[in-house]
Amino acid sequence: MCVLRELYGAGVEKLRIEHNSFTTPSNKKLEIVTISSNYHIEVNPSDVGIHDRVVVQEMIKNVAQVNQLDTSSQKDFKVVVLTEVDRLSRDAQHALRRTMEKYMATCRLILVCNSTSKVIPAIRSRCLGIRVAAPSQEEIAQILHNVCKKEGLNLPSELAKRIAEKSQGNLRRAILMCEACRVQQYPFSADQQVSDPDWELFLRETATMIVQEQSPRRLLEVRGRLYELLTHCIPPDVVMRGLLQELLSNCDGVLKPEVVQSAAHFEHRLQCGQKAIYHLEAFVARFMAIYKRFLEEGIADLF
Amino acid sequence: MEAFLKGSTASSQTKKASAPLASTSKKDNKDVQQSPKHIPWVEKYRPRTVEDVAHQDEVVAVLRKILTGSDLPNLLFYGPPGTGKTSTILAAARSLFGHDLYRSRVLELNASDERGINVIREKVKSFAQFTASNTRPDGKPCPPYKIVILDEADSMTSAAQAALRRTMEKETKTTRFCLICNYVSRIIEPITSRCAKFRFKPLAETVMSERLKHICKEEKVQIVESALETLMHVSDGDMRRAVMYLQSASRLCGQDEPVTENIIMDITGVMPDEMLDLVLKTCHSDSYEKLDLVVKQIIREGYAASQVLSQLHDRVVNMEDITDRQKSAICEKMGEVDKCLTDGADEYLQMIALFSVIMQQLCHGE
Amino acid sequence: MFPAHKLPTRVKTEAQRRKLKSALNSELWSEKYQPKNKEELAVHKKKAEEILIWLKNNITNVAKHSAPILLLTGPSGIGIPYAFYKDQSSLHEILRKYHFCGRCPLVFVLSDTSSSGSSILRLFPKHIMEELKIETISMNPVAPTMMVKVLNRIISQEAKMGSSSVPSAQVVESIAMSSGGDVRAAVNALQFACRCDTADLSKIKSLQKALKKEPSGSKKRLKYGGLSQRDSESNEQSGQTVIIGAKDTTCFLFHALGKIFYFKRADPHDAANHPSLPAHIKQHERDPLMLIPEEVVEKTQVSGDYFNTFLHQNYLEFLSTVEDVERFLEYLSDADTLSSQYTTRGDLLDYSVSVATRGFIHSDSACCHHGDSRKGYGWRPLHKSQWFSVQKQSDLSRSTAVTLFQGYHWDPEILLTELVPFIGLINPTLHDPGILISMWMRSGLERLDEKEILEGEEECSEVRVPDIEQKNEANTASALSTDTEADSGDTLPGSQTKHKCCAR
Repeated sequence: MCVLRELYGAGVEKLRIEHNSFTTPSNKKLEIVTISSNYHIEVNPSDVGIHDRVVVQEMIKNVAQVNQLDTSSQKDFKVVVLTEVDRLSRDAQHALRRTMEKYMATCRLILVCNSTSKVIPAIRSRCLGIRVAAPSQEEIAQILHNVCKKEGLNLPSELAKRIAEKSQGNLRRAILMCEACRVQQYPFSADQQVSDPDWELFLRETATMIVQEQSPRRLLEVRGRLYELLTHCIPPDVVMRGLLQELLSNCDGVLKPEVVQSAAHFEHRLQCGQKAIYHLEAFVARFMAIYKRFLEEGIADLF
Repeated sequence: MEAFLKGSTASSQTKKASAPLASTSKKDNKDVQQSPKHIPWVEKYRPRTVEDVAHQDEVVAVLRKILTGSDLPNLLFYGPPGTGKTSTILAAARSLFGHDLYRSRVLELNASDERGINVIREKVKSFAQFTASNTRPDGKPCPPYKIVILDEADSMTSAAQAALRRTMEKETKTTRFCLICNYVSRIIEPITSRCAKFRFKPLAETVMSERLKHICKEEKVQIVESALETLMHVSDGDMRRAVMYLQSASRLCGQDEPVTENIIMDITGVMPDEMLDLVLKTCHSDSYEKLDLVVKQIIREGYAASQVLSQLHDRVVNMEDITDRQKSAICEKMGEVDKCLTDGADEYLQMIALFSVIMQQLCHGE
Repeated sequence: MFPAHKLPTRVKTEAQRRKLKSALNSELWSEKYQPKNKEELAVHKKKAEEILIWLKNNITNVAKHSAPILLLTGPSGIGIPYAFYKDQSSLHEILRKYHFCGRCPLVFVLSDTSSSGSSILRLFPKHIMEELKIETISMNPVAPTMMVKVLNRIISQEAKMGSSSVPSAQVVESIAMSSGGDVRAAVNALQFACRCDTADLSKIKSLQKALKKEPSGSKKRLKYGGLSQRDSESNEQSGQTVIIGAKDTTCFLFHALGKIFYFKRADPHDAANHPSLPAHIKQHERDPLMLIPEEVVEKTQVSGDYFNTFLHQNYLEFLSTVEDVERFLEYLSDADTLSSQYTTRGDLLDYSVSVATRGFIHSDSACCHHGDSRKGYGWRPLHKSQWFSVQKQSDLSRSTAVTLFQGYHWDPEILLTELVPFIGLINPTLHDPGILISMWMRSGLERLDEKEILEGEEECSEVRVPDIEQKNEANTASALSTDTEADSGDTLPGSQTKHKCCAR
């Protein structure tokens, strides 16, 4: 946003939400929500799943064909912001690659993604890559101080530091945490509890359950909890990662490599497959088996 | 405002503004400066003539002959990205037909255009219908055929390729085809056998540095010699990538400061050596917690796992203190991780899985 | 009105109403031997009684403006003209008219095969049923013993005419069983069997052999093939009776699941060349199976994927150790990956279910060999798969969340994993009933039920960059409200839906 503001001035902040519809070659109607100003348009093409190719092409074509109104006072190109490019299908990425070049004159793209691993090289070589590193803990703490100052709050630096630590470089989270703390207790105290989102607590409990008992019955309970998480739209890969973290902190060092391997293995399956629950459950079962074997060997060693 | 609305409805798109548009007045933004037209350097320094094409001697030799009058076969250009495939055929076509005839004689189709079987048949057919004369409007002789350029041919479905095969045969009298792709293996056999194949080599460093230096001179960019080397190393023979990086780097530095190695590293997303050292050191520590922290740090810094993987691979293969057996175990895992990453697996999990294998091998292997 | 259906099971009702002439000159026995009185009916007596009472009641006292309508449902046969499927509202219109001015009772005869079960609901939605006071009587399939009786009656009558050969008792039995309760099909099969040349009868002979294997014989209460789970031999036999040309007994999903879960192994000495594994993989050796999983699944006529979800939902009840569970899940994970690639999906889907079912059977270390008894696996209720409802629910919450926060630049993942949970923490008390329009998230164990309503349309158009800190001051475009009434006892839908294994 800031870049766009620099480019076009304040006009770019007059936003509107539009529902655009497209028709796929198979005559399926697609609807996608875009956020746009007169100068730019922001869209998350991965919202439409496998039909993203059509959206990408049409969107850019449309934007590029509408010329800038007042070329004397503006830049002579529009900007298309595509978010979550790493979630685009291969097909769409290939389509994007040439479309980018074709409409270079009238429109520029800003692609936003978490990691370039999933962006095909052809696109990477056509873009100016800007790596946006996460802010360091000191930076986060500093920002928190600034925010609190503006809000007229007094933030102990001890607490700011702890929040920064917990946020793991995620500034958005840090600010949210800070606000949650304020609601919990104000004035702040240096040692007050910084709360996690409740699904993380839930996940932690689930991990404890797994470590406590390894049996099919327990697995059934765990499955119920996994379903619970999924109904609340926690993405399965996030669940998998969180579960791994919690399980690792609960198990012996010797087991860690094996557990990590199986987590990576099933997470890959999860990405390839369709029914996330199979793979999550498979991971839990694998962990249970590993852990149980470890315990049994431990008992055997005792005698 | 009205004008804008008209503009948007005039386009083919069916837009429905869900909310009334807020009245906006942009007249007050007069501080926006008139900027000179920015053409990306990649376009600006595209080779204009066949002679300009760097490093691809065979192709250039063949095309040169064609330019002097001999017949043009169907062409198939393949090779890694950024080696000048598209540039070459565009330049050749331009010098064959001249600027005026170019539009009527050359049909460019690429993956972003619809390229189903029907399109191939109809578009190419209607394009090839009219025989071309063998003189230009200005009286100069020119070859009596048209050229269809199919860029990114490897992303065509095999059904479309099969349809193309027939069309190619039928239209030999009036039309020549030029297929461009990265992977020749994705083109069906009957088509490859109908084409003269040319492999485009990744550009040699000398050629590239010459070219890059030329651009630097034109654009008045100062660049440190070591930065140039890094640039060439990271772009891996891909000229387009190199130019793109160079432009980004020069923007970052401004006119007066020289482009340094660090800047190149930064914009290309290459992990600095210190980071790699840290990774390997942590792998030696046999502490899982430290490993976890390192991976999180890498992700926080925004380095791509694939990048980490390729750099780490170079390191591991050249490591001297481990046995070949250990190396092979690590490399095997690397292959697996690479595949998983391509399939869209989670970066954190894959990286930590890889690192834990390395740790295992370094601390407990053999 | 509606064409009379020549279903022997149901003709009675129509016969009472219209005194149908039986088509005596017809070649088909199924028409020739349509029941002519109550005694000839193969329907259970109580059912027949029920219908009779209803008719008597309604014929005698037809109130003005409320012609009674009865809906008869039961398996098999073709129902209502299909025209009405397309235009249900016109049907409802006609019904209403009839209800208003009709004099005599109206009887609908509908079939509900397992696949078209929903069609009844579509044609006769609840509100119509209630509005017009439509009564429903559902018919059960004809019991095998009754069926045999009917068939024997026909045979004896045919024999009197001396027209064709008389099939043996076993053949009659097998026909009765394979018909799956459909009298028309059974009668047709019988006619076919009687007309057969000797060459064709050999097929039936082979059948008789199979029948003889069954120790219980005809004394035992007969069951339809494919419906019994414990009796694997009758399963086997059902596979063969199909040859006769009777109705193909399609397995219901839960029967098939039962067959997989309660699989049995044969004695390896019976199979001539059952290979033995070398020592190092000896632990993987299993005795031959007594069923072919692929066939079982095929009979259910559901996709392999769908079958797998049911397998997954229920397997935990049947595996006793974590190691078994782990092995099976690995197979299931494989199966899912196999079938997910769009390009190869068609080809691999069948293999996927094969991997899953066989994976289950192999993983069960409690039953590797013939005669291994799986103690404690008595009858267990099977559950419907939760996966689909979970997914639906999650899609719903996702889209609600996205619409509520539409003006912002969050992508759904961040929205739901970070923003929403924290807003729950930040605003536990902010509660404005004035703009509380709808609740959007069910609350389970988590306190995730926040909602956000954009205040008025004009703000929608001018949504600013979200500033979380400002939000609390309530002077932005949005107003937050939280619903803290958590119905924490709410469990996931579907988990309690129990389906009995034995439908009949």
